[in-house]
Amino acid sequence: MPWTFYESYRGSPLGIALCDSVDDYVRSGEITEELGRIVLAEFDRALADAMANIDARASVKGHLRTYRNCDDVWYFSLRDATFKMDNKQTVSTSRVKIVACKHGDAVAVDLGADPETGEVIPTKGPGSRGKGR
Amino acid sequence: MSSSSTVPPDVAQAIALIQAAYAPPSSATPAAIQAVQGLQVQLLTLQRTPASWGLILPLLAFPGDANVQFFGAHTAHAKIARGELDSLTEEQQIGLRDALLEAAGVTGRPRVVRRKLYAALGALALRLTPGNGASEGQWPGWVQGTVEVLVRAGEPSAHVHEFLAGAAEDVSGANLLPQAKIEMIDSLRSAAQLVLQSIGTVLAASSSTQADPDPAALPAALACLTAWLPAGILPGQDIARLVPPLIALLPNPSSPTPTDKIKSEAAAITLCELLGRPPAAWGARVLLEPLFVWTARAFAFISPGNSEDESLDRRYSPHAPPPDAARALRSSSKLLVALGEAGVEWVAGSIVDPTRVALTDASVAGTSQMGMEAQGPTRGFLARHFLRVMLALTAVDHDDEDEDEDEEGDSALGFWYLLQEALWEIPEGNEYEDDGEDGEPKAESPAQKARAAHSTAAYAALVRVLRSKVVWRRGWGKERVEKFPAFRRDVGDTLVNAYYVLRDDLLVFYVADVQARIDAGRGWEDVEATLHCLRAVHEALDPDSAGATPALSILFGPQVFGRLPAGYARVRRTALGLVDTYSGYFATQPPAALGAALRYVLGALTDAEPGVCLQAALALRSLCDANRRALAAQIGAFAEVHAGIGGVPDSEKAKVLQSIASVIQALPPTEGIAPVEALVGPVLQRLGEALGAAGMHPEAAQQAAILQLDMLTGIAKGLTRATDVMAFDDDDGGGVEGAAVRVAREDQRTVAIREALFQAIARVAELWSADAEVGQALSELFRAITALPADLTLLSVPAQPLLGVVCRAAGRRLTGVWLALATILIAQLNPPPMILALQAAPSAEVEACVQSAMGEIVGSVLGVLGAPGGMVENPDIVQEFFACLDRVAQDFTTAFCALPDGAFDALMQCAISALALQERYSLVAACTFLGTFIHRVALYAPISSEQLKPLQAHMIRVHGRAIMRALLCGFAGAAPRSVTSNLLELLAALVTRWDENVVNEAEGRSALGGGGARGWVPSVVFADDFYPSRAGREAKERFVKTVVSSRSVKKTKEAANQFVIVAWGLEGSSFGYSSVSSG
Repeated sequence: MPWTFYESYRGSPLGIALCDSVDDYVRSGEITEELGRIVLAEFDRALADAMANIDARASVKGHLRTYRNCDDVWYFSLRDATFKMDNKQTVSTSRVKIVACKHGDAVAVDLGADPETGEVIPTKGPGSRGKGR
Repeated sequence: MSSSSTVPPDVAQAIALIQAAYAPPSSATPAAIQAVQGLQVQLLTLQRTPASWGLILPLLAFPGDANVQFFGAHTAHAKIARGELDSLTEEQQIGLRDALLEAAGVTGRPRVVRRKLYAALGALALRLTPGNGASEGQWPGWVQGTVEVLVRAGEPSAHVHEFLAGAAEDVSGANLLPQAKIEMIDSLRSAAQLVLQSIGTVLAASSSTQADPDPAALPAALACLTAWLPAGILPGQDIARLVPPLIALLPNPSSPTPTDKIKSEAAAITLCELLGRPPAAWGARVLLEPLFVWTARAFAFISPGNSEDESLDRRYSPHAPPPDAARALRSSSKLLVALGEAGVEWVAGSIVDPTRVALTDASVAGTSQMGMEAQGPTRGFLARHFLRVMLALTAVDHDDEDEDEDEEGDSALGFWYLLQEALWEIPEGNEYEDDGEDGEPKAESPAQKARAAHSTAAYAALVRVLRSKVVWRRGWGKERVEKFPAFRRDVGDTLVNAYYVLRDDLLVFYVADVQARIDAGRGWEDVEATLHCLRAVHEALDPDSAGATPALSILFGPQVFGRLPAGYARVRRTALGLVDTYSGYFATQPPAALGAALRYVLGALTDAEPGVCLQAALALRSLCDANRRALAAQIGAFAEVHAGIGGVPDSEKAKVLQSIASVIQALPPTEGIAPVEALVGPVLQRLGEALGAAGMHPEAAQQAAILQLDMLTGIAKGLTRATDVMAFDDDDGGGVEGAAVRVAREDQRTVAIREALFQAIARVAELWSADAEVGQALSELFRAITALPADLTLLSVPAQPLLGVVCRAAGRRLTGVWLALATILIAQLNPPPMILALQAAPSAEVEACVQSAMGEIVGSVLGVLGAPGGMVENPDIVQEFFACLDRVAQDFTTAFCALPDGAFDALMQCAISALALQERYSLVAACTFLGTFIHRVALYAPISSEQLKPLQAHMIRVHGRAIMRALLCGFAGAAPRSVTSNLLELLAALVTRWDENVVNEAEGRSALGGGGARGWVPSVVFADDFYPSRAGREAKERFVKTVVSSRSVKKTKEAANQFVIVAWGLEGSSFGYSSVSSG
């Protein structure tokens, strides 16, 4: 069956801008809804592929409030989190929700963004490393 | 076939056009390229005409020119896929189907034409096969029917399988309605046995010893199998029958022939697919165990003879395999990696399993070489052998490979991560669940001990292998050099997994290794590689137990750090990075333990190599930050470091000053005054010189000023306490330590430093208010020198005077940076309390300061945004302005009352206009501000009858309907659909805060009725000048009815959301819901 990809990245600034543009084209009749859907599905696939090829990495420290795993999608809700990037830059936030999906095709689930913080940080890889054990 | 002389004129014209368009370009000049593009446009235009249906068959029948035939097939495919089939009658559609089938039956077509023709048939089937619910489709059994035509025409099996593979892919990729999808899948299912039979026949023929007449048959058949697998249509037990012949095609070391290679590669690809997506009912016996048997047979040379009788350490070799073995491993690396991923749990669970596996026909051959005979090997043997194979694959040197293979070789690393996780997941190893009767952990069983011994031995060999893989080698090509950091990082991740198995033994091994290499005078590359490995495992170390590891004290002592090879930038950078990473470790050691590492770092600060110097500055900063108290005792030594700061490159000076300042912070505050004076004084002096030189050398002066500002920021950051501010629980002032800081701040010397600092900042902001770089540097400095009361430092400057500086700078030249800074400072003026109950209202002085700042900011901003196109051209200012207003609305709501009437009305009009902006962030910021403002004013109006109550009434009377109109126009399409959620929040604020009572009171009506803000909706929505949308009167009435009659915010939001979908013309389409993005 056709591979579907997570729609997480539609909540990113790039995805939002694309959705708005496609909306405009569909409304003005320049493209069909079908084509609009294909464009967005292609965006999902392209972003998933592109993100899988990114070498950049960050580590995060924070207070883990909740976590859960459903259909290979992990959710981590953190408070007072600090992200440390490859270049030693650090970014802190009072709360963040991390959505980690397995790379590649998956059951289509619209993850959207955190309704409270509006943040979505999809990551590749099958979940945690079990560091805390 | 017809000849070109008998074709009708219009067909001949089309053929001429195609031949001209597809002809090799005579030249690459712009004119020639333009001419070709013109021809292609003509062809596309031609393809869109209804008459082009008539071109398909003549073009396909045109002899001798593949381009013409291809265009015929392409026209058919494009017209069908674009939905133009509806322009044909049912009979014509059937006629087209039969004609295309007939054309597909013509043998000898070029591959590109054939494939396009199959694609056209697939597209046609997608439209003709599904019925309309009641009746059957027009093309039942389309797969079997097409295969029959191809076979009858004498097409080879490779072509038939090409069609079958395309059919499965077309159905998988089609966007069909659910019922149509089901019918298409059923059509594939009805052909499943035919497909399996056909593949099985080819596989059987390929497995036989006779020469294969068609070398393309097997790859095409297996590609077909791969295409049909994801659909899940082929029965698992039937696919299982194909596994033994597939494994029989894998490389056999005894007879490597070219034909075998093609077959074995095709078989390996198919097996990889099966490993990745095995049918649900398959157990390990179907695929995993036969493949592990094959691995043991094909790579018997990895553990020859009696390796099982050797000691554990010798069984797992850390050495790279010889060239022949490496070549064999590389050629099967994809399959081995796939097998490792799919079978890792089996491997982990079987390491010491004595059960024998049943041999299949395919796996029997060659087992005698391993001494297995007919009984079959044990699972334990196969698992251990596979570990040795993966070790050898990991150790393969990929220097002489092409790019793809290199990546495959590296991907063996992932297996070790999965294996470690799988070893932990084995239930009997869980000591917490298997407690004995007395609550003590149950003793390890012999099997557990044996498994632990094998896994430890394997990972011990792995860490040796990985160390050798991260050795830097001179003479590498550019590409290899560029990939090396990422590869090293991946190796580092694998080492973390190895640490979880080996724990301190890993540290002991690496420290002994580096020590031995230094003793032996080995090349710096080897020393550097080991240091890198030690650095990589740091993240796995438990900070509490790491302090007790003797290996680390040897590493950072004179035995290693005192004798590192000198003169090599790479090894110095890695060693400095190691100190940086382990800086927290020294906090658990006596202060003397810092000596060797600190000397090494300080010695590198003035290194001519920029990378070394940078790494040294970073390491020093981390060391000082993590070991403040230990280093404070040696403050005199840091005075020497400060004295020598002239030798440190400018780019690193701020970090060094931050390091020194962090040590000063650990001194009692009164003792820190003189050192702070010594640090800050020279910087302020140079800043003053830069300001003085700005007239004569503006650029140099500006760069010098930025450098000094960065240094001041570094010092201020260093002086900030490392302890979490939230850890203080006695009061808001930071406890005893905070009290001591406050006393020290009263000292005349610190007062003078702060005064000088403030004056310097004011002059910089005045002189370079339009400079973005200076603005950024000031922004960083402001963040560093303003603090919550609990975190005051000797340098902290109150936010009030700084806000004045910012407002004046914004008045001279308005930028987003100044507005962002104003937001930060305003937030500092009303800091959140540690305990909510202790929240005190801001003082009158602070209120007055914010009111004054508001007046200046609003005046400056409205001057810019009020100009034609001002809001569209300055989105950053719009966004930061409303963010600033939002902060004021939250903390100083009454500040809006102090604005002159005209200014407040202009501000509201500006916010209302912003609700129609297309730039998303501006719109969201305006929306958020309005929502916050309406909530806050309504919340405090009852207790602020003189200020906020009249302001609310004024807003309702003058701007209420305009806000509602802008909001509803946004729903109707004036705003992007992605901000719908923000607009909904604003709508919720309006209807909840401005209810009937509030609006009637504001408008001076005493009687009930009107509906409050909800009552404005009908007049706005039904007005003639409302934003034109797809929402008709009925949809508007439905929306208005819900909003006016409902008292539930949730229902109001739902109605508004539905109105958005209708207004955008997306009602009833899944696109409207699937494409909507979260705000």
